[in-house]
Amino acid sequence: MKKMLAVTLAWAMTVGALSGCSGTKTEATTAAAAAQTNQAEEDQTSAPTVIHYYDWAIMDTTIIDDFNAANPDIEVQYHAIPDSGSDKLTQLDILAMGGGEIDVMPGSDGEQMLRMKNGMYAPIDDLIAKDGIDMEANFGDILSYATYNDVTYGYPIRSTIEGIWYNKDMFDAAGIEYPDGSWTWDEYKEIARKLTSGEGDNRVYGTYTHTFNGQWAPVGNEVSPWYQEDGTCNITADGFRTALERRKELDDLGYQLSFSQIIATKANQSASFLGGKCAMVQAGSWIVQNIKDQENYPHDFRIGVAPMPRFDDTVEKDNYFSVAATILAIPATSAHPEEAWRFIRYMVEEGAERVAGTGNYPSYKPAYSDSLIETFIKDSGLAIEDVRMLFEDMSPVGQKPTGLGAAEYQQSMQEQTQLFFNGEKSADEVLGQIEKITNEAIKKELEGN
Amino acid sequence: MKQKNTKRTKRQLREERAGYLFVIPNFIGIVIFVALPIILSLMLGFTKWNPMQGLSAIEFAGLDNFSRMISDERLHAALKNNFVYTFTYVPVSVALALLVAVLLDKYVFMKVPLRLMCFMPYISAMVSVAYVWLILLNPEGGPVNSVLAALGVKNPPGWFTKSNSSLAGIILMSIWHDFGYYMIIFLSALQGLSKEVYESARVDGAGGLQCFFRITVPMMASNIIFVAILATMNSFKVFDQINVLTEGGPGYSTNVLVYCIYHYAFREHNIGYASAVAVLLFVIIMVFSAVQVKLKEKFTI
Repeated sequence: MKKMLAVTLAWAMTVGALSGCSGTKTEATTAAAAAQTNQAEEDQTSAPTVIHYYDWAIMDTTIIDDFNAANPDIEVQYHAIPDSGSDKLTQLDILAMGGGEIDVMPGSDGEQMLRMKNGMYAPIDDLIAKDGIDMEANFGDILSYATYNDVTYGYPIRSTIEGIWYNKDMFDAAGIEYPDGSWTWDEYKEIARKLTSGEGDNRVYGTYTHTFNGQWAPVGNEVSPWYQEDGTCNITADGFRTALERRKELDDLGYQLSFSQIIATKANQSASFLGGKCAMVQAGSWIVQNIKDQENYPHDFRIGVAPMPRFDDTVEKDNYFSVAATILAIPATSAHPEEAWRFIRYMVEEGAERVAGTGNYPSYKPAYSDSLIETFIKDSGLAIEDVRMLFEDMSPVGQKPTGLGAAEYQQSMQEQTQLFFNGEKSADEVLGQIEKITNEAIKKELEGN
Repeated sequence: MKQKNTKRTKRQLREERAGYLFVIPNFIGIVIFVALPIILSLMLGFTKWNPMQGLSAIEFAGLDNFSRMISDERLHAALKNNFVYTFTYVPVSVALALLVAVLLDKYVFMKVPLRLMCFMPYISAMVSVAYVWLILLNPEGGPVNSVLAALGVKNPPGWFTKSNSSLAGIILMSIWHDFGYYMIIFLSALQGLSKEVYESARVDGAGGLQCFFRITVPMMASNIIFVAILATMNSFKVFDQINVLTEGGPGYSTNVLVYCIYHYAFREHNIGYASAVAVLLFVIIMVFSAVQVKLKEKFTI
């Protein structure tokens, strides 16, 4: 009996660890150990420093070979991990927490804020200052994803530039003009109405908004900042309240697959849009990877991209895109931060074109050129004139809050708004709850807990 | 636990040593993989530790973690959900398993294929089964709600999309998944029951129901309690289907203790608090099991 109890408890305690440590980790560690042995066997005097780089993105690994060839004193070993929802992050966390051999790791789309706060990454301000890098010129709009509480922890490698992708054939058939950055929410809603047709399995929705917290809020962020001036949570501001209600309105009007149906059917943006189930979709630049992938996402229509709609007429600027970024960071446990930093710079700066080649949007601005855009959209059927605006001056809005308490802010946005979208709670209740949770977290952080 | 006993013969000592040697491998295994984690977890429950900053970042925090529990809404929801889950899942799955076992033991044709069908869910991977249930329980046009609508149910449940029905969906799926296993245990016990008792009961004029409640249930009491203990522990371990289907949502409606532990440890990186919750879970399971063991002693014939 006692044994059974004990086994149960041990299970309870290790459950998370187990689900995080899939076979890959062991393999990777073994590989790392083997690499070390090999290295030791080689000539002791000229043995290069080994840098272990983990990533889940589709990778053009020629960049790593090039780096190794150009830097004989460093040997980068690349370890691919499966791109499996949030498990991939847990896997990296455990590697870094356990002091595993890991020198360069990605931190993605807002999830990195918690890890910055918790001291998982080494600060790189000194390295940046030493190399005299102008971060603003290199990355501009998405820098907030690389810093936390004014300390820089990462060098952005790939961004998510999110706008409205649309099916040009459906627009043509309905005689609707292609949208540009001047469109307002009401125009967007009207187009969604016109493009909704059919019933049951044949229903084609006007648009599609996914369940992530980064999907409904950016339009609100055009008029309301994430934080109030005193640093507290600003989610109850008009912009966000309206944006929240508008997302549900599209559900209720039947212009898009409802929040509940997305949950119930595990629908996703690429499959819905490229499968012809919706005429528009709010999606990030990553969708280009899926557009290129005719095998898994077969489609035969032309696609364009437009900025996010303006909140309303009073918003002067246009070309709003919601932005987020993935950084490359050095775990605080790494024994070779200098070498890791050299590799990170090479990856981000020299590798921009090759990041673009995999359908990811490179964050490094100085590399932007027509040839890079051509590489980005190669084999996707997209037209360069359509996509160029993603690389030009735009008005960025934050996909997610990145300041103090960001982890709790994002988490509570995700958990609480479900209850509004499925009709159980009012907007006031859920926004109030998010505000309460976030402000508690901010207060705790300021008190140094 | 070496005994200080010097007045033993050499032969006895040798035998004793051999005994210890046989036990040692298992003992070491239990110490390292079971006892040590339990003790460490208990100790971590009294600390504040962010594992990103290494072992040196462990600070003693006294009862802070336990006092946080008092105001933690996520944990309160998890506790409530866990108890609702246990008090529906355990009785229903045990009763269903017993009923099906008795039926399959005697009253039907095609016993073997039917037993196999009842046992199949248990050996299917929870993750893939979860996706099948997601489709079955789709509130709009899913088979279950279509049947309910055809039967005239006005407002069929929203299942995983609503917080008042998502836990019910999880419970339904878990019962379906696990009861076959409990049934197999009952079946093997039923086959060990003496036929003579039933025969004499029949002679005395007892009906089927009377036989079931007066003979089968009392004779199976120890098995029923054993299965109930097993089911209770399984009910506190529920995790996979929640992680796959609802991630604890909508809101906190399907948060359970194990999912909370996972959340605190790997979403918030707060190992100290996660360990404190694990200690709470340990205490709860211990109390439940103690009660059930007492019951077993009382009812076993």
